[in-house]
Amino acid sequence: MQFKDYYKVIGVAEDASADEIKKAYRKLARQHHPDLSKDEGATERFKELGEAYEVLKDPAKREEYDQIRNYGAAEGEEFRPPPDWRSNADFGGGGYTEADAAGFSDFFQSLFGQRAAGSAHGRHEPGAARFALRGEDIHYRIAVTLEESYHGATRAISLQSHRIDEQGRVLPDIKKLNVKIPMGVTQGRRIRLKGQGGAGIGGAANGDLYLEVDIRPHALFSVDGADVSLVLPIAPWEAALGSTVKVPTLSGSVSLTIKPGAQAGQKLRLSGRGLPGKVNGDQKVSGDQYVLLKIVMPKVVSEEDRALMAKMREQMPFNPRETLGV
Amino acid sequence: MARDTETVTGELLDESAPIGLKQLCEICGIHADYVVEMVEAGIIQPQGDKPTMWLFSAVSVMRSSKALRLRRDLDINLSGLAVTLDLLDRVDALQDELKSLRQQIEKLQA
Repeated sequence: MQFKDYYKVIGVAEDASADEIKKAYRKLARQHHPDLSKDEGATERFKELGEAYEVLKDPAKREEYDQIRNYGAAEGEEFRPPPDWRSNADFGGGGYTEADAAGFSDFFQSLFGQRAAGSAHGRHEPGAARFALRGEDIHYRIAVTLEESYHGATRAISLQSHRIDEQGRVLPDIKKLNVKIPMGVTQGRRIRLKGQGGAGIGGAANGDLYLEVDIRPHALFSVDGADVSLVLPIAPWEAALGSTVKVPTLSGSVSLTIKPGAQAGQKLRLSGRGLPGKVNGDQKVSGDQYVLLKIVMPKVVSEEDRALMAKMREQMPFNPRETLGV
Repeated sequence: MARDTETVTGELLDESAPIGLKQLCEICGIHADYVVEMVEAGIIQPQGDKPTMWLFSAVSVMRSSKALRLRRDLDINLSGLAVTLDLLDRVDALQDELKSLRQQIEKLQA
C-alpha cells in the first residue's frame, strides 16, 4: 500500500495548528463536497479529505501519524507499518469515531485498524442485541442519449461496490446490472433501483442505487426538459416566398410549412414532437419540438449568380442595419 | 466475482409513491423531531396537515438525505441548509438551461 501524506491532502504545513487544519479542511470540504461539486472525482477527493482530517484533527492520531511520517515514509512510496505497530486509537474496538472507516484507505486501516463491518459486535453473546445497519445509498450519473430516452432502452452498467464476507470483512466488488431506462427521461431526473445499493449489515436492508440522468449532447437537437430544439437552415427564397420543407424529428422527418416573409431566428413549434411524457388518464403530455430558422446564403459561383445578386441589390432597396441607426 | 447480470427496472423518483413520517425517519436514520424542524425550515414540504398525516415524496427523501449529509460534513445549520438546497436547485436549473442554449448557439454558428 502507498503512504499518504495527510498534510499535503489538506494543504497545510506539518506544524499547522489545530485551528489552521480545521479552516483548511472546511474550505476544501465545501469545494469538493459531492453534493456541491459536479466535478468528476469529487467523491474520491472528498473521501481523501475526510480521511486526512480524521487523523489530523485528533491529537492522539495525529501524533501517531507524525511518528510514522518521521520514521521515513514519503508520499506515494510503498508503505508497511513498523513490525510492532499498535495504535492506541484502537479503532478496531469500534465506536472510536463517527466516521465510516470502511470507506477509508488501506493505509488508514493499517495504522488505525479497521472497524470491520459488524466486527465490534461480531462476537455477540446469544440474545444480545444484534448490530444492524442499512446499506448505504449509492449515487451515480448515467449518460443517456436522446434516442435512448425517446424509445426507452436497456443499458448495461458496472459499478464499483463492496460486499461483506462471512468474517465481516469489506471486500471490493464489481457489480454489473442491466438497467431499464424509462421512456422520456429528462436531464437531472433520478431513477431509483431499490435494494441495489450497498449491502446491509446484520440482516438490515440494502441501500438503494440512484442514477441521475445526464442527457448527452445530440448532433442535431438541443434539449431543455422534455422539449427539443432544432436549428433549421433555409434558403433566402424559401424564407421570402414561403415553402414546405422536410424537418427531422425524433420520430422521423415531417413536412413543415414556412410562411412567406419568414425571418432568421423565428421559432416554430411542432407540438408533441419532443420527448414522450407519461400517460395521465387519457391524456399524454409530451414535450414539443422547436424549430429555429437560420437563413443560409447560397454560394455565388457563376457570372449568372453574380448578376442575380446585383439585380436584387438594384431592385430591392434594403438596409439590414436600419435598427442600428446607421 | 462472476455473477449473472441482472436486469432491473427502476422507478423514476418523482413518480414513486410517497411515504409517511415513520418511514422517512427510518430511511434517513433521524428522529421525528428533526423532520419537524426540517419541515418548519422549509427544507422539505410534506402533503397533509399534521405530522401523523404527513406524506413525503421520494424527492423529499433525497432532499432530506442531502441536507443530512451537508449538516454532517460541513456543519451547516437548518436555515443554512434551506438556503443551500434552494440555491443548488437554482444552479441545477440554470446549468440545464445554459447547456441547452449553448448547444443551440453552436448549431446556429455551424
